[in-house]
Amino acid sequence: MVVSVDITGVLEERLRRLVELGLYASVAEAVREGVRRLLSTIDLKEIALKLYTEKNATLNYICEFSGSSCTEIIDYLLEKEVLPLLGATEIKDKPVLGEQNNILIDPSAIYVLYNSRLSSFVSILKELGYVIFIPRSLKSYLEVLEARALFKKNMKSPIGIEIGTECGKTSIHEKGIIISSLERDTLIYAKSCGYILITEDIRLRQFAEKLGLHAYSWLDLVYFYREKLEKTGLEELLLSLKAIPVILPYQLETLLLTGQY
Amino acid sequence: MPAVVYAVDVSISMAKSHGDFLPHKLAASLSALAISAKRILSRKGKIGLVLFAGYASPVVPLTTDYDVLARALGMITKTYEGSAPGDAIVESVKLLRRTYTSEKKIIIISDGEFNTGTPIEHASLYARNMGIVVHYVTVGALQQVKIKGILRELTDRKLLEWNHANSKNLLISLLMNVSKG
Repeated sequence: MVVSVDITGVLEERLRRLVELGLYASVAEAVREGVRRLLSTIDLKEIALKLYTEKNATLNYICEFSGSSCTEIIDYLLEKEVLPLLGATEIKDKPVLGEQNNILIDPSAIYVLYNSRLSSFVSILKELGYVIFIPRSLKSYLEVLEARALFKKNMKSPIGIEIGTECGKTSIHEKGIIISSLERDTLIYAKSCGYILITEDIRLRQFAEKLGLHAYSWLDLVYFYREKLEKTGLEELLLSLKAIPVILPYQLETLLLTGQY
Repeated sequence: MPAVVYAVDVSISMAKSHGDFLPHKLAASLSALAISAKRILSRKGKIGLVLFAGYASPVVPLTTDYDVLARALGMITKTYEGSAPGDAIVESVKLLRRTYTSEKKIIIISDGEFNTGTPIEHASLYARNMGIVVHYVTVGALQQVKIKGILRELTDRKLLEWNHANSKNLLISLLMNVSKG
């Protein structure tokens, strides 16, 4: 990105002297250093919080913007009394699932997958014939979370997510939302391939639906296939999701409260 | 490494809703507890659980396993008569006393009513003398002036730290800050 800035008068004079004396290779280099110093004095998490609460940014975007991990940002939001909009408030209908077996997951779905008890549920989905993909650009993001989960012994073995190949080119018009580059790649991929999108970011899911995508939460799938999980397994899964925290749809919240699965 | 025992009020009044404490104060408190407990475990800490109404019962001994706590939380569905937070502090101290760490805490989550059992002043003094910090978090409306006065006085005397959460997000925020150490 090229940004043009007018610098005149004393500021320009001082910058030129810095270059003349060899302290910086060029005026542009001196300005870049100045910007870097400015940004280091700003609390990027605080700006991220404003982007999240006032500008409809997604969770992954503010992680990317502030250079923080998703866990750090979630904890920061919670400390500031802001509940991250992850999960779902109600279960969607089940029209597409079953017809289309290719599922594409976004960064929020990957994050939730590796920080909960979902891995065993994903094994069930695979037995049911679902294939789970990510776009190539999310490969390193996935590998980092997988390595952490294996290290923390949250998982016994890698989940086995496929790296998708391109289906063609398309574009999306981002209006009324601020999304990360990884989310943009995921949406474009889901649109061009016609895959089901799984995202835990409520804002991104609503935006994906406006784009005409079939977007779901892991929680929709958990609810549809709850009979495949034992009562204890389902309870532990839901409580592990609540600890992230993921908002449970009232249908699952009711199951948890009444114990009637 | 922190060692934290959560003492949760399961008195009948906790089964009522208040503001965004939905469907009731108890369920909302347990959700907030789950979030906070996960953070303590990520700091390599230990967590325990005590439930109290007219009596206090240890339910989860100190553990590093979130699933043990989760299973217990999943089973908390009933509420009972009475409210004895002093007894809950005593039971929590019992869980913590054989743990050798400098950071020992009891986090009481209650809607503030206490009417039976060990006087809270004595229990808090016992905890303090055992090197344990008591955080008393009240949820909901907390209308009884007398209880506010007692908790304020105990906070001034540094026998416990009292905070009030009138919303679920504030409760999560308070528990997050307490779990940070």
